[in-house]
Amino acid sequence: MNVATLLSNTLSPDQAIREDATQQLELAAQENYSAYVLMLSQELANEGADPNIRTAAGLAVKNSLTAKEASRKEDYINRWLSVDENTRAQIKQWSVNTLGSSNSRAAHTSAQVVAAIADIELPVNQWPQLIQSLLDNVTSSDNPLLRQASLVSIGFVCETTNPEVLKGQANDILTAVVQGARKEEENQEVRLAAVRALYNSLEFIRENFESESERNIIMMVVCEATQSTEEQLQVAAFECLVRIMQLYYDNMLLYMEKALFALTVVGMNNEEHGVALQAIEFWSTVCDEEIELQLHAEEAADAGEQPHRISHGFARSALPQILPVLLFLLTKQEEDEDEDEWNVSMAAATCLNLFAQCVGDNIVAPIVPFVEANISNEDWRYREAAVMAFGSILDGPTPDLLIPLVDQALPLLIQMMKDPVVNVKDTVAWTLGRVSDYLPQCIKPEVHLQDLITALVLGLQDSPRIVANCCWSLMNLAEHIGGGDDLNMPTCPLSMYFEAIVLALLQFTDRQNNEANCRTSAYEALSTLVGNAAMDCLTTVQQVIVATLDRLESTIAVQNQIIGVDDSNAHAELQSNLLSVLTSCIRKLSAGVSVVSDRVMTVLLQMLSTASKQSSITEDVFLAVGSLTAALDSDFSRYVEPFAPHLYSALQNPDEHQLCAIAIGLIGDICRALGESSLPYCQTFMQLLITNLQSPVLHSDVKPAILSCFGDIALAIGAEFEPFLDLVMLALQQVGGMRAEKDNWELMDYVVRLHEGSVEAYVGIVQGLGSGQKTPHVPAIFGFLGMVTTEDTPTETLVRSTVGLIGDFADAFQGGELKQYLAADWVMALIREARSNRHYSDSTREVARWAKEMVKRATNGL
Amino acid sequence: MPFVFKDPAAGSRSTAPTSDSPTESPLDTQSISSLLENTSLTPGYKQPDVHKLDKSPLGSRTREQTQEERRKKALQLQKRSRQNQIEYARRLAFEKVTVDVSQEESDDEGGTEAADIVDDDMGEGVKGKSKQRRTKKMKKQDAYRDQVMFAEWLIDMPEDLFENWCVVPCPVGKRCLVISANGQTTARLRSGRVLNKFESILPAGSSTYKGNKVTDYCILDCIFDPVHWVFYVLDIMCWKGHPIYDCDTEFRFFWVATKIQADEMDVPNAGNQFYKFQALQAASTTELKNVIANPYAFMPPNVKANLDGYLFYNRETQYVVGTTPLVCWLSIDKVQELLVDKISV
Repeated sequence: MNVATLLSNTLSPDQAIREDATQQLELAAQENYSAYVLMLSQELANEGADPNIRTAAGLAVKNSLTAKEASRKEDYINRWLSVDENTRAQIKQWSVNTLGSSNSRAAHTSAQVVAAIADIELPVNQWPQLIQSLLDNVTSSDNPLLRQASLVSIGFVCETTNPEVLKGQANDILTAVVQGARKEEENQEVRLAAVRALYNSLEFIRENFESESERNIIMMVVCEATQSTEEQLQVAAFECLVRIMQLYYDNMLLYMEKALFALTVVGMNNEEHGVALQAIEFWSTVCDEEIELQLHAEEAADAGEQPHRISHGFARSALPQILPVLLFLLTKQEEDEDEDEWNVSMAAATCLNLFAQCVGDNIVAPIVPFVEANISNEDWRYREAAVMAFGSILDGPTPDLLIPLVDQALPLLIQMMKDPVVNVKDTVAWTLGRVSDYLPQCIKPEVHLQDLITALVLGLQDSPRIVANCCWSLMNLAEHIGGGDDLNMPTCPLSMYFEAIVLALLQFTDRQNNEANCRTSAYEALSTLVGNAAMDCLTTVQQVIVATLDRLESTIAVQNQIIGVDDSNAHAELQSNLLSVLTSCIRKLSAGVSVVSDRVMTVLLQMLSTASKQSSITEDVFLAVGSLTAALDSDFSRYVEPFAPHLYSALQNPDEHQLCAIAIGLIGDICRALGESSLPYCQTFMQLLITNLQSPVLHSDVKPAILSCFGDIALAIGAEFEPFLDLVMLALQQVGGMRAEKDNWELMDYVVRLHEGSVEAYVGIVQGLGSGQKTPHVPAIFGFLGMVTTEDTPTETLVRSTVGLIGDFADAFQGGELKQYLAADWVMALIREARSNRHYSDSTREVARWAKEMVKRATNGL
Repeated sequence: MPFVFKDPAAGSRSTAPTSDSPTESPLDTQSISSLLENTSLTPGYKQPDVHKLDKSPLGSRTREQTQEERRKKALQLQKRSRQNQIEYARRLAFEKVTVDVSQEESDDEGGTEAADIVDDDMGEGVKGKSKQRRTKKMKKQDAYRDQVMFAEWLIDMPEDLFENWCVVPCPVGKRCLVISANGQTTARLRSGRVLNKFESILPAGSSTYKGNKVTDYCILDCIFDPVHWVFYVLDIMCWKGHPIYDCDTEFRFFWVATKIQADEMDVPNAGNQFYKFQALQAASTTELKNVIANPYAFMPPNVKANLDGYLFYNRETQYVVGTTPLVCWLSIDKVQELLVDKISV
């Protein structure tokens, strides 16, 4: 079979033929790559061949050169570079020639091939003449197809190749694209290709852009292109402006005043949506940049420095002109809003949100009249726009300014949950969610709460998107005005409504359908409500746990009937939701869960035995078990025996490092709950933990937790920890010697976490062994502490736990045995720091106060 | 075997293939789109990303995101319990050295109720909490256990004593939580044990209360003088169903002073035959010298109980249940020792 037939077969509608052809091509590539790629390139260059075949050939070449994964890409690069130079030269020649093909698809494909080869060869300096020859094509050819394809090719090269590599050729590239993008260029296709190539080159032409004369030319060319009558060209030009604003904000003052401001306002009003969207995006980008710059300025002010870059305040000065346009565009909603479909009114809403964050209080006064004038308009578009405008400004301005407005608007908004138009209700639900998220203090329990909750609960009967937002509101209410996650709040403003909300959510979630994530959202809300229940709602929480257990049991019962990826994903998601609710109930009921704990544990163990090895369900089950240990305390002991094997197997599966981390946390939970009774399991625990610490494949993130876990075990079993002591000390000393080189932030952070874990391990050991401990390790430990806490600027966590550990030592050796260590200057300095640093929390100061007393006692030899 | 602690950046690179492997499944949407991208006939031109407002913040959360949140929450709780455990041990130790107050200062009923391991005097730290396991009966009381904002014993004078604190002279008595609701009033000791159930003049606290007995409940923090049957109101957590525990000290004290009016709450009437409520007064610490010199001038008029000591409240604190360093107890016998260098008495 010849190459043309094979290639045409790769495009066959018949799957068997397609697969066979693909396989044969792969085989050819494996047997002799050089011949394979040469043959395909020749086919691409063959002006007499079927354009489809030529395209297929070109794509096959391209696909043999590029890959997403780093490792395969590496292989492809080596394979290409090992092809002999003449063959490569021939292929490159053909590809560049084909840019001039009269068949535009072949030309376009070869532009991709050129870019793919360039991506490999330019970084190793193997194709230095490429850019120059493309430039020649653009500037001196009179074949518009060649000029166009060459520009497209430049665009691809700019997009794929490392900008650092292209910097050296920035001048040539810029000359070529500016040449093609000028308004004097008559061929609009060429001009479009040039503007798109310019977009891709913006990142590495910084040096040119810093030069005022070159910058003026680039800006002029782009601005002119926005005035074209071709929509695609206008869009591409506005995209360039967006990118320029992102990359070169600092240089934009002059151009904003002279041109950009006016032409983006016109652009936002353009009838072509593509143009309007990019013009709006331009202002979203301006706001984004300026928000960032404000943060910068605040950070600099905190540190008593001058910011490196300053905000020109474009958003603020443009507000009077831009805002009316955005508000007008808000009323241009689509009838059938598809959340995936991006449209002008949503873009305007996005932009308005960013303006609110950027200009803060300044946005409030001009928005209010629009909201007031339109919120009761007969036309739903105006009502929706008014609510959207109101919801958009809730994040940004100071709460003091917003509170009276929200207070006034809230009854109307609640009323509007009954609006006949679903689009309006959707936005109202979102706005209520934002009120309860950003300004919960506006919701007065005695004034608004009853109506609000009634509306939200009714909203559960609405469309799935509205349901999700109502659940979001309920969740925010629970978080902000609920009883908190402590177990001691006697009552809270939500208590009166708690049962009604919970029953409504339980009823709603009893369904198969999870469209727009509505069922998951309702379970999340339920879980949060339970987690924030006050003590007077505990009977309702008991109802929830029973219902949840019922549902979990029925999901287990149908487990075997689930077939297909989608169904099993949906089933797993449901179980995961239920487990999340279960965990919240267990935490809230605390010791009260003991009534149903046998049933809970039976369900959890059943799920563990049926879950697949890498299933996320195991993780959720473990979290539930963790909550059960804390709730039952030593009563958990009877479940350890059947549960331990699952724990062991998770600890032996380093591929699932998240699960492994949770399993390690669970060991700590079990030790805390069981105390000395955990001893029978500790031999295995320790063995598995040590093995994990030695594992080269286990994810690094897990290791600090292992160190802390040593502390948990030591604390639980006290003197019985002695047999492990030497090995653990060895590990801790190795960690103590670790340092990160400057600039490697990730490693620095990791070392800090390891050190924090080490101190927690030492605390457990010292407290656990008490005064009967072995002393030989003391000098090493003090050496470690002195080093980590005096070397760099330590974190508060590290300071607190170190100071605590010093106190523990002093407490364990009251007779002055450690006087020489405790009297070290750094010890007192650290305690003083922990006591007086105003950024530290009360609990840190507290520990320091205690440690100071302990040290005083142990050094005075009381 | 050596222990391995690798640079996480290097580690994630080497483990990348294993974590990517599930996405190789042909049903994965990501691989389909990348497949299309690689074979599409008109590739190369991609729509740049734009800013997009998320109008469904909860609905658009992925399963991975919610899972991650659950993990974080569990981790945070674990950290908290570890911290509690460690600090519990330390507090016991602390009490051993710093507190030399005699044991017999414990409350009189403590002797008869051996299970009542939490005492009802003014500051944390007199006695170590017994490690004994709680009885079943105790667990029932747990919902009400440790509900008052409990002071720490004053050990060092706070540096900002004169700027940010106020002082309340306290009579001798039992610290308790008074809850009026459903036409009844209940006083509970710190342990959660019921001290007394009665009808009171408090809103919702009696069967003859005129307003809404369900919603007008009140929760007060009091010192009970069992000899004269007076509840001295220290603090208010809820008044007529309005929670104010999250307001700062000064506001709550203002509330105490305005709601617990003399001549209203301390006169017997049909609903309140026996028990009186009197507001304790907070004085500014700038007046500390005068307060110490003449404490009774800063207590309710005709107070019959003796002075027990002083509670110092940080002005900014909200009502925090449990022990807090933002409220400190100074018993009368420690005044000289601790205040001598702050004010010249």
